Amino acid sequence: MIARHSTPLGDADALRDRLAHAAPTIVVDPDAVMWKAKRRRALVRVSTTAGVFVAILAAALVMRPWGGSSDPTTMVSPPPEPSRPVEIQVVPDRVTPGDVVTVVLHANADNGLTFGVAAELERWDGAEWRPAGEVGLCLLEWGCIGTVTSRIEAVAAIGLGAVPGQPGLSTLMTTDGLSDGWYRVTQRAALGEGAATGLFEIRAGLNAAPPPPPGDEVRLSVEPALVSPDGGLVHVATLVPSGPDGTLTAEDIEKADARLASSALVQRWDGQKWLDVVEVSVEPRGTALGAEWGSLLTLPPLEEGSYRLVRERAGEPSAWGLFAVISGVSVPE
Amino acid sequence: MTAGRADADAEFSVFVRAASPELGRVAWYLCGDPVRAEDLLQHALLRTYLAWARVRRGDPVAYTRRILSNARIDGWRKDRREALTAPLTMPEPSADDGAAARAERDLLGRALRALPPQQRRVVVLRHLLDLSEADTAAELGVSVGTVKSTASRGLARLRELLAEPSGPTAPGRSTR
Repeated sequence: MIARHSTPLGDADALRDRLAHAAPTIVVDPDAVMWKAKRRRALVRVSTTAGVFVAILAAALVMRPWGGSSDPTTMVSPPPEPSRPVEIQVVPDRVTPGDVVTVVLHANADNGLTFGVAAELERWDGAEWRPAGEVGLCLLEWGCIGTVTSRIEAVAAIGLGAVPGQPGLSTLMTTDGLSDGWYRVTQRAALGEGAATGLFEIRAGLNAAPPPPPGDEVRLSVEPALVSPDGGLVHVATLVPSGPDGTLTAEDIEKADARLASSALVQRWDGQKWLDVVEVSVEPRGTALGAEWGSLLTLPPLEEGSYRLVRERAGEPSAWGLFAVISGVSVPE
Repeated sequence: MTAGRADADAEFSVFVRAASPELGRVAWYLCGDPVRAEDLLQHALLRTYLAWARVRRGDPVAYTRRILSNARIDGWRKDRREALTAPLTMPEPSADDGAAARAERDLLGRALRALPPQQRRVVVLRHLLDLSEADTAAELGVSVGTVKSTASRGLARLRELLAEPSGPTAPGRSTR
């Protein structure tokens, strides 16, 4: 038995009495506790037996005494995904572990599908796709980055569509926690029946993906985030983080937008650093539209790769946003 | 069921009915929330029952309290209540449960929850359960020096929180 000792602190007794008097009376049914304990014992017995069986099975699958290969870091690439009305483009599609990738829906055909931001992840084991987690993708304007977990509890109820010729909104996820290999990301339609899939590869030693702009600073969104090598028109909008009290007004965005330079520098990511490419003019924003609609600018023809648009801000660090140049997409003129 | 197990179950029932009020109070000190305190106590009693053959020969109250004080009091989710509601044969909750008493309980609960978990554990064992510094250190697996410094800081913080005119406003991390 543990001995009790009076405390040297003077009014601790009063505090103890006050808490003891206020404490709720908690009663527990011993029969229910015992029933639950017995059920747990039974479950442990069953799961122990099952665990031994699973361990033997897993060892057999890894060792494959009957032959064959199941190298967990297989170099056997997966087959291409079948063509679907809506597909996912992951950019960059070859990254190093821990990099942040941009996930964009793009349509090959007219469709009535609406997707959410929940996505499933699978890893190619050399023979088939195996579940690798779930992720709640983060829209660029949310300032967050989706992380892969075993099961997502909830995601924002938001509808994402995809129209041919207009890549969807950019969403972000990190590859943190994922090992080397090929991955398939799947977004299932919340409205309509269908799924969109996209592949990407994680491999140590590949070029690093470009870092995204800090979510807690003024930054830019470039839409569409997938641009044809022929160049074309894009919208560049100013994203402003909420204030300390969580509020954000149109005036805050206007104020930040007004401090931006009238031109933007296009820089290309070489895997380690940003390289200047070209300076482009940003068209004045239509007075009838709010800052959240963004401004137009025309991108010149560019090589395939990862890019950012940088706009100087008077007296502040520059604001920038990512986009990718890939073949197979078109940009509205 | 064997006679020996029936005897052990009967003994455990007597223990639970007798010790629940005291252990429930400890659970509330540690959680600052009556519902979570009940969850926590049920979990601790379940573990006590699973070890009952050994524990019954010692001090089951101390054993259960040790489980309570070392549980994850800031992120409790396991062992949510299922059929563990109190039957009619159980004692009625305190009649002194008016609005003023609830307000006082809420105020104290918020103050307890505002303490970081480890600081809360030390304050509960050292000051509210009046254990010695050595026993508190042994129960939590920390040094006596840690108990000394944490206990005095924790008690001072608790006093501050309770001295604030409208009670503590910083609930700390989510407790669910």
